[in-house]
Amino acid sequence: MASNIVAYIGIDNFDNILYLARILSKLGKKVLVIDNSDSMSVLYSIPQPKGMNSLEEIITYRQVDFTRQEINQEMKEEYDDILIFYGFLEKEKDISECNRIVFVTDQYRYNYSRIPDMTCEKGDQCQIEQDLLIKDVAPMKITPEIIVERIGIPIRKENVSVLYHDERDYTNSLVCHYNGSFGLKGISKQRKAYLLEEVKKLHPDIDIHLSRTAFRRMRKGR
Amino acid sequence: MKIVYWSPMHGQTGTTSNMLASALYIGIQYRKKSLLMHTHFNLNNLEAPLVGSNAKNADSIGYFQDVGLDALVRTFKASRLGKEDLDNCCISIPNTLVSLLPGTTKHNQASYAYEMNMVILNLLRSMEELVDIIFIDVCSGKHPLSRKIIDASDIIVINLSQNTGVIENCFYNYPNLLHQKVFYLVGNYDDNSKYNIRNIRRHYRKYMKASNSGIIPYNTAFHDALCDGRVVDFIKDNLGCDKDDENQYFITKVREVAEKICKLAGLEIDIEESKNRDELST
Repeated sequence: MASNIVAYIGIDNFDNILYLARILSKLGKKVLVIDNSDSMSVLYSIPQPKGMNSLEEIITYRQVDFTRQEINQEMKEEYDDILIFYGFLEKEKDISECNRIVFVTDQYRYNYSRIPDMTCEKGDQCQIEQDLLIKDVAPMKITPEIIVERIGIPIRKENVSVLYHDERDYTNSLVCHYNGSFGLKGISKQRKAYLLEEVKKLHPDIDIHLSRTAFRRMRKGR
Repeated sequence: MKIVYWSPMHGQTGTTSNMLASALYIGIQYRKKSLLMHTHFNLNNLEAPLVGSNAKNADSIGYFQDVGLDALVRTFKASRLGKEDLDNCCISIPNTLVSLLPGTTKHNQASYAYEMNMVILNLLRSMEELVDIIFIDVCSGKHPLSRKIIDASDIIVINLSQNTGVIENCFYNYPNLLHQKVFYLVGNYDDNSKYNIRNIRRHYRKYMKASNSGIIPYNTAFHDALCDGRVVDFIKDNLGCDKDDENQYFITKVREVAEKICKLAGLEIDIEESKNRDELST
């Protein structure tokens, strides 16, 4: 039974989703990534076999399963972790299936101002653990603290993650997108720390040393 | 028990190397009295990886004198085939229960084809009484001799590649084959490809399941061993390799294929005992 069903809502976060999926699979977890977004940035980063349709079936690539189908009971029973990317598409019914939501934004007003629209005021979602990831942060007057305040969602301070813009991460992300490789070579320390922290949140039982070993194996391309 | 290795296309799927890997594993690890042979007239490479040279190689004519398929056929035509007759025509692989029956050295293809057509089924029937398993590497495609042997076989191992054209060709052009007892084997396999075994099984779920399909990954050391004529040593050396060994993935997958083929064939093998043997031999 899936112990983690995580919804990613907001701007593109395909690189972190794919890195995380690979690390989890290296740790022996059965992972499913669902791309229900309008940009389909996750699926565009996965080489699609000819004759297979991700809308109708699951596609396996590098030991991680991908699909554009909606989450169903069979998936929940088969996988340990399900990571769903919604983008800015509203899928109220599906979000209620999740036990964690990660809102993803950057410093642009047109992105963070849409986040509150994606939250609902119904009781169900308030029960779901909520995180905020602010990506590509540049040192300027609109700080992450201001953005958190403007979004207005009640998120605990320890659940807010900030990733500063890093050229290496940006380039790595592009390379992974084109090569379909999701390698972690050349990744920044802050990105590594973020990913390991995410693994810890999803699986607190996994020893940090095991996570680091999985991370190292991925960097070596194993 | 006759297990035939066939492919829809020549030179694309690594049929001979797949047969060498899986047959040697079954013969060595499960201690089954096995015989490896092929029915190609030319362009086959079964002997060299085992003994260093092919039967049709001009330099090795002396080595293969009085052994091989031609000698066996002569003996079979003269009298009932006995254990000694078969042993005399085969090359034993030392310290194993595996033997090699080298292929024909004839130069007249029509004569070879005619003779094979007349004797092969009865010959195989006689040989079956003397060994546990005969592994036969047959010509690819719609070769009439291959079809004859396939129809008489217990298991057909259909060798495929990750080339979608090869897979399509198999399912489209050979529908009759697919109703028999078949094992699909993808050789020189690369799991990083989008055409990985999981996706192939999903796409061809009508024919392929986990129980009747498997993969043998590409392995540099194995391919070098084929060229060096050291494939038996390679398999023996790596039977017990540990999880950090770079050949571990290869031998694990060969083991899985061997287990599945034996299960499909109804052959009794002690999987636990063989795993223990692996650990002891490290």
